[in-house]
Amino acid sequence: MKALRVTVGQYFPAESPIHHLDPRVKICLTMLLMVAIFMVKSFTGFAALGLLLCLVVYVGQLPWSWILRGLKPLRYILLFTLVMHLLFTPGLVILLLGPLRITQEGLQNGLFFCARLVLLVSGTSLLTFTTTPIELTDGIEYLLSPFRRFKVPAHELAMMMTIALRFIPTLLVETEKIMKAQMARGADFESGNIFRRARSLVPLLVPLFVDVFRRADELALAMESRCYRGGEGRTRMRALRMEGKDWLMGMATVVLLVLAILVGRF
Amino acid sequence: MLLELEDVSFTYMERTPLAQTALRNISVSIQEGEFIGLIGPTGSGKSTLIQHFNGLLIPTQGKVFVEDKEVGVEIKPAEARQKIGLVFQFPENQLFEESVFGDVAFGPRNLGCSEEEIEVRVKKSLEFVGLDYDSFKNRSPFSLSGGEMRRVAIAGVLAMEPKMLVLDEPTSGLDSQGREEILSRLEHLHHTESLTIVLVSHDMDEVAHLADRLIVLNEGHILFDDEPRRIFSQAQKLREIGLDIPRVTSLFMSLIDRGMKVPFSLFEVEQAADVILDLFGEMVR
Ligand SMILES: Nc1ncnc2c1ncn2[C@@H]1O[C@H](COP(=O)(O)OP(=O)(O)OP(=O)(O)O)[C@@H](O)[C@H]1O
Ligand SMILES: [Mg+2]
Repeated sequence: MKALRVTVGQYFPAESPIHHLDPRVKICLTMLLMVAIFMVKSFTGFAALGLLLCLVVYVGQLPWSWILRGLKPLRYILLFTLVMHLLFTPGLVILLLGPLRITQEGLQNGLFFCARLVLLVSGTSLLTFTTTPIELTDGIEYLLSPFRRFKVPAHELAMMMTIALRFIPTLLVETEKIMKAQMARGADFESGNIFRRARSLVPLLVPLFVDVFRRADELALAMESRCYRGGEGRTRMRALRMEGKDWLMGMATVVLLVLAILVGRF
Repeated sequence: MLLELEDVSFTYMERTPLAQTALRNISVSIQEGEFIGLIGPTGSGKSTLIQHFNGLLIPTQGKVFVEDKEVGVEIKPAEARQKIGLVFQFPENQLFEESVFGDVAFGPRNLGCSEEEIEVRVKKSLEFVGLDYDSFKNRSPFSLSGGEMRRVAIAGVLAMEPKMLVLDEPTSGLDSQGREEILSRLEHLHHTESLTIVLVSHDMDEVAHLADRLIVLNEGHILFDDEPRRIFSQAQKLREIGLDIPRVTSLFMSLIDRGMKVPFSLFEVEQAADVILDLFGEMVR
């Protein structure tokens, strides 16, 4: 299964201060980071933000190979961005390749947008690398709960996310099993034109859907038989509590981010 | 030789931190007409091993030969899959067609059989698993009982007309009647069609009287490969790796421990009953 090798959205288990940080702080900081990435207007600013991210990777004990692998699916988009800017930005010509004119502004803009993309993707993947899916959804639920009075079903949304995340690996395993069982009966998922391939998915998708519905049914029953009835009046086993270190780390990062923005504005 | 594995090792997710070696240096050969029981505790690599038989998994190291041709080199995996029919655990989860007929026909259709040929094969396979063709062919597979669904799924593999049938725990999750039915069907197939069968199981009683050869797997390597009676005489070793011996054997072993003169290598309940009755007869006399 190739899908298993993609690192984006995966959790990297470790015992680091970043891992132990309150997920709400991490989510807020990630959002702030995104704002910062969009406010920064110069390479100095990007360098500052990049340095900050490197610091997080280091403190979070994350392997560099994971960060790089997380960026791998991005490589064609990056190449495309760079080439488009190189070719179509008017300005001071620095290189003539036949009919193609490469300008200084083009090079600058291309690199600028690539840097922005790289920072955005690696910044957000730092969140998922260091936060378990459960913590993540807990954090989202807390952060959404003030909007409950505007009829935002915070608990239900978070519960749906938790369940979905929980079942992704299960379904991958199930898919592989069914695929193998059908291949043992001579099914071929790889060759033929697009119509044949689409049709060859039927023997995979029908059993998969049957399985998903059965699991959903069983899960619903199991939850109901334990008296689950939504978020109303529900207390938690792992209550999130902001501690000194959470405030401290949060504030420190905010200060650093603001500094990076200030540096990068000009 | 119908199937031969030569020094096969297999590692899941090789070259990742999650790498896990499931098979270590497995060499085994299977002849036409054998009935083999493959047993081993949970996680010993049984399911992994049988997926090497028909090219669904390619060994990390070693070679697999089907009819003396190396899989992936001299014979395509697709061809190996026709020759070695593999029935996965809970095969009823792979049913997808609207009718029983369509589902059993899936395999032969993939092989490119003609419509007449397909009908002949579907009919034959359904009869083999003990389902009446006319009353079942148009039913939805999803409206059947668990045991019936499983038999339809097995028929789906039989319809490929394989030389060897490999079944991964075909009786798990069935009641004793469904279990009996499947096992007697397998025995029947083996006798009338002299089909080669590999039965994966962790129920000793089940394999003991069906198989004429047992392969015991533990932690990815072969611990025993011998006749059942010879293997069960190593009861201690089997218990150590967490496998039970057949109940009859276990009873007779206790009898031997108490100084009774009974044969050791028995696992048929009827024969055991006779022996015990004789024993009583002697004691009364
Ligand atoms: N898809 C997979 N990815 C990674 N590891 C796997 C995978 N499938 C099996 N394994 C591992 O390989 C080893 C052998 O598993 P396998 O399923 O072959 O055992 P088994 O003998 O069939 O067990 P059971 O009696 O429970 O069916 C186990 O340690 C298991 O964790
Ligand atoms: Mg198994």
